[in-house]
Amino acid sequence: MKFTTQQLTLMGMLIALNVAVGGIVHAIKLPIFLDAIGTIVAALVMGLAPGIVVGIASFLIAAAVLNPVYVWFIGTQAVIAVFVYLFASRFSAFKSIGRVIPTGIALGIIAGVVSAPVIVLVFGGVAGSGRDLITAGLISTGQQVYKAVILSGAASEPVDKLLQTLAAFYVLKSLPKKVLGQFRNAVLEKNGFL
Amino acid sequence: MLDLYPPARLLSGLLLVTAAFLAKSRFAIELVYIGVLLAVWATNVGMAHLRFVTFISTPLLVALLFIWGVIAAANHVPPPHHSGVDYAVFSWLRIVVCAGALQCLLVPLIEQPSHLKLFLEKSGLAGSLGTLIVASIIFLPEVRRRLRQIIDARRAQGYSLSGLRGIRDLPTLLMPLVSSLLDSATKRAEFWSHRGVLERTQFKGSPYSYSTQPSALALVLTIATCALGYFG
Amino acid sequence: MRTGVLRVNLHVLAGPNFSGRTHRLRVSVGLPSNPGAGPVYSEGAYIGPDAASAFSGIASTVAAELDLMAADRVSAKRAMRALEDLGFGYCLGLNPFTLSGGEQVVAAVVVATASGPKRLAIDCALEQLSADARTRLLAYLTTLDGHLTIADNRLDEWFHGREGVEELQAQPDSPMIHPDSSVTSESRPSRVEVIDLSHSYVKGRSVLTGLNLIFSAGELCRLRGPNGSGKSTLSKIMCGLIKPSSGEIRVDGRVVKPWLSPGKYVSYHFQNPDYQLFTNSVRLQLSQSKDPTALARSFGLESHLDDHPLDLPFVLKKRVAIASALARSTGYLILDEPTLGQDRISVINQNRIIAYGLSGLVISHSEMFSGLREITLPGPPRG
Repeated sequence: MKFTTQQLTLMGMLIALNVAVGGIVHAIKLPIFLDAIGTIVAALVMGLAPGIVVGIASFLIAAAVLNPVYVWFIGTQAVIAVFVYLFASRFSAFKSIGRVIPTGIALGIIAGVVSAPVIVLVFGGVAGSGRDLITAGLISTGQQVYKAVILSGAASEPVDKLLQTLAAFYVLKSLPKKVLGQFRNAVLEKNGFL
Repeated sequence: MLDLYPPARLLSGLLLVTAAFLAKSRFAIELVYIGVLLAVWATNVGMAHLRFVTFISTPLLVALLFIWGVIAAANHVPPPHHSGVDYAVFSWLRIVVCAGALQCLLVPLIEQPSHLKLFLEKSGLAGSLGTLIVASIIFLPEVRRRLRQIIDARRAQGYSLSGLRGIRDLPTLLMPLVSSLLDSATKRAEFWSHRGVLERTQFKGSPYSYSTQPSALALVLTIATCALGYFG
Repeated sequence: MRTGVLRVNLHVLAGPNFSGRTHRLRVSVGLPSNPGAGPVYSEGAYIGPDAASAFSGIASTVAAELDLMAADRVSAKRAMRALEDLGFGYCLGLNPFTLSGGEQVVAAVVVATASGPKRLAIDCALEQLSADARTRLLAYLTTLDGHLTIADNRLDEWFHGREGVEELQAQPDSPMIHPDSSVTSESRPSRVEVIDLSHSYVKGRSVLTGLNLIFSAGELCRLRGPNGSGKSTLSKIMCGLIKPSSGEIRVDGRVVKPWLSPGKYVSYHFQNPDYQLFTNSVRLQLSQSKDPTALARSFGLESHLDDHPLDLPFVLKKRVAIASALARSTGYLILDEPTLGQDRISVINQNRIIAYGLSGLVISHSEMFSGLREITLPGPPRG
């Protein structure tokens, strides 16, 4: 993997952003995680490989600095980067609010489904969040645990991922053009950010 | 603190995590946990591990007991092994064991970024990726400082940041932060090119000497722990 | 430490904002006029007002940075000694990104000198230092070999040499500040009292102890004190960003609790404009004013009303940030280093705007506020 100097420097900073922002959740006092903003921005501003690297590296660092549980979700971060890049480059999924909303919801469903095996195999089916209530509710209707975890992920993750996708969209839309222009690429132009 | 040869350290950490999954009985996983606690003591991450067990793993235990001990049991949904409550406790132990092993591996490295770069290179990661990870750890306090200043400035303008208003204000808070990072990245890239930073190496060839005996010992102990976990 | 004998070939660029100093300085060390114009390597070193950009970012301490960037072992050791002589030896063991702005300037300059550049350019970084630190740093720089080019705002505050000074002229259409006093705060200036105020962040270590201060309505004061004396803490308490451990705040005679509504009684302009501009246009940023266009015109921003504030050069960003603090029209205004990035004429005109009928507190190293009533906070208790 060959990165330009400018990509390396920005990747380092977006990794730090993911870790730092992930830690201010308590300031907002609501159960959202904000741990993929840097990954989404990296995928849009620099491309697929930088997005994947930012996602994986930020969760490895967050595991050391915040909570070792993060390590188990590096796969989910990689999937987020791939999804965002593919949809932005193929379908201009960030061109307007009307496209961003379904993109964020779809991202949440995919993230929820992809994280389900980890939650079942490593964490015995619990995620330590509101998702567990949905899982419990589904089990009480007779669902097997595996299916319950997949469905609870598909139900709860879209809220968090939609918020983060919208946040990334608004941030990129409102960035100063001269500053963003230093990172001009086809995806940013195709989605109307430049 | 032990300065283990990086591949030995990495292997030990991964083997301990594997041991946690090889263990099939509660006794076995408790044996593995003893091995992990020894490693926690040797790598000086006791406080971090204690914080994890107390604040992060306890809600997970409560959730596990609720799902397996109450809901699944009431709906006759059997766990993969043991009974409901036993499985909940077993799963919790496994989470704690894995967390401890990962903390032994990761926490000391983060506290010494200069060790980290060498560790990553000796473990086979490409030079530029190692540089990038070290740079992000070193820059983390600066990003936190900028975020604090931005939050203070926004509050000083009369905007509340908690609850739904906080969520709505999120892009407004993030915009100057992301903008400043893009700007800093451009300036730093110029600095790296201008001063040939990536071509430089620090003077001391290796800042520390890795001891082979402790490394071998650590590996042996780890393998022994795995065996106990598998056969226990 | 050697002083007095000038070994370095010193060139000083004196000139107002928009006179092309940055362009000249960057070109003098082999850099293109703007960052991002492409990779380039040269034997020069450039340190701009954002000194944090002059660190590699891959060294976990200043000492490690010296290890990495110094030309050889001898230069590294010499630079470490120089930092200690300058009184900044404690920075050696610290992460460069945990240092204050002034500490970063000193550390970045010393590290740059250790790398043995033939040319060193320091662009408007020295104004962030206290007078004492600046004098000592300059004395150190003059003992080195090579070419040193310096530019700074309000150079005449501290540089009195005649040799090697080149006067630059501002570009013809540079944005000037017009002291239009009618744009100043529409609300009545407030009288603010601080009564028996104490605060400690950590139990047992007080930052402020039993402080009693009166700020009269319409009075502009200057807040002084060494690092750690609580200037920032006092300002944040008055604005409402921090709840004090004990004590009372009164505005116009009434006891108030600013921490319940931050920014309601006191506006705060922070030092760095990059972290307090939240909108897409200057017009929106100033929209709380009764007449944003007049306010923009008074700060020389009329041709930038539709520009993104963060796309502007630093000096204009600073003006936008100060103007937007004024636009909020609270009865009291705290300004942290309002002269940063501004030349003498701009500061004089800006002061005419902010001093007109406002109650306010200025935190500044600059001697351009020496005529104001000074409030000095004692340093942290020793022992």
